[in-house]
Amino acid sequence: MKRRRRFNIPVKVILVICTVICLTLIVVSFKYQAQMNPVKTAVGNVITPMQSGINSLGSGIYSVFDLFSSKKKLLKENEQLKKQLEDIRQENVSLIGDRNELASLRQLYRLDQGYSQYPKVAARVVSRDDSNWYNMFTIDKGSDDGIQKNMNVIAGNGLVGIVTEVGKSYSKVRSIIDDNSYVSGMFLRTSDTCDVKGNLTTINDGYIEVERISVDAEVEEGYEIVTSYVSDRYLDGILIGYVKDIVTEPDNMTMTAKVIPVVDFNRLDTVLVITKLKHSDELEEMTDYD
Amino acid sequence: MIKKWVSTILFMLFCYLLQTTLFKHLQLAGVVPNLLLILTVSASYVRGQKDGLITGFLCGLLSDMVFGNIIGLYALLYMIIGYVTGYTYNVYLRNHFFILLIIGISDLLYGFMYYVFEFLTRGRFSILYYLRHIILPEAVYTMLIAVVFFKLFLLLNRLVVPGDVGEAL
Repeated sequence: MKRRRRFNIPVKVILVICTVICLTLIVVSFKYQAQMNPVKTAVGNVITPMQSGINSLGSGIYSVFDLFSSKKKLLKENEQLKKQLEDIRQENVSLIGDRNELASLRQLYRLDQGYSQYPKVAARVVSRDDSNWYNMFTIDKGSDDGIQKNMNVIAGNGLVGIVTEVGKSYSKVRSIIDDNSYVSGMFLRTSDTCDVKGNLTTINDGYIEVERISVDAEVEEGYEIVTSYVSDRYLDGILIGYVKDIVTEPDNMTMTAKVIPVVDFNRLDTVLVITKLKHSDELEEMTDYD
Repeated sequence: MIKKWVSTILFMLFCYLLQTTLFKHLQLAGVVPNLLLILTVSASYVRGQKDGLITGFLCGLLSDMVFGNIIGLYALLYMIIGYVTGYTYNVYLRNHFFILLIIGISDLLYGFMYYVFEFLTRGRFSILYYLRHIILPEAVYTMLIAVVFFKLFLLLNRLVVPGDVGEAL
């Protein structure tokens, strides 16, 4: 015991030193968020490949238990088909949407092109946020694959979230159900704008909040909410979900509602990142929060 | 000394990787256990205040670096947990239930502080909801998993610090 206590610094001193380090770090990272990013990216670049490894190891073992090794090929094929299906399903939905609404809503639905035509990169979900409080996750594609901060992430036929941090071979995505998430949306049929806010307490019941709908808006239950033109970071026209329970606020100025996201966030393993930024030049100065 | 810290850091990485990958498939009631907290409290219980404090600091720093917005906040929180639970170093009990209880209480405190820092400051007031759906389930699950991870930590401790108090447990 004695031998190992050569540098016997009192524990109170260490406590004070570490506290000072922590406080300094808090102040520094709060003030110079952008400058701290390389440090975080460096850590991420080390951690993510390991997580990727564990994941593939885990799913490897799992697949052996689950389906015996001879079916590995089928699994691989299945995975490819799933990716394809996801692509096609999304295209299909937007095509059906186009067909049904083009005639009556041409003026309102002025998309230059559907989002199925945007260039996309498929990615796997590698890990999730370490706490139980947020809905952020890591995907296995990064700057090497052309991903940049603020790119939109979709899955199936709807919006998943936005890229908040990019490393060499990983990126972090904040999903729209995250408590910090905020998306400007609009009703596809009437072009009334609204704000879609993630909320931890409501997502357990399967919906997130919609706020600031104008009382004049003629919206009904079941209407689609898509991302809006006015959003700085989200490409417009991406389906978020279907609205329900529209309520007029006591102040009689706005209405709030619930939106059921079309994406199943519990079963998210493959996502598509749209590698096209909205106003790519103006985004440099934007922070994580709108 | 070096062996002890290298092994602790490796164990910490191991815990962190499991927490963010494997355990997302093993969720109970929608939560994952906080393995870093188990490590921090185990370190203080088995090795004393100083080690608990430093282990907590490292665990928090890792968590901050990978998923936090403000670096240092959770380093501070984990460090304080490590320091405070270090007072149990002098409590010699053959019964492991004691350490599980300490881990549970620490996780409750951690959850509460997390809520205060991240949610209360943004005007989310429904603490009872968060308590029922996240803080309590997480504490219970963490306690359950701690049965395994505390044993693992003891095993590791016996390997790298022969003759330490871990031997007695």
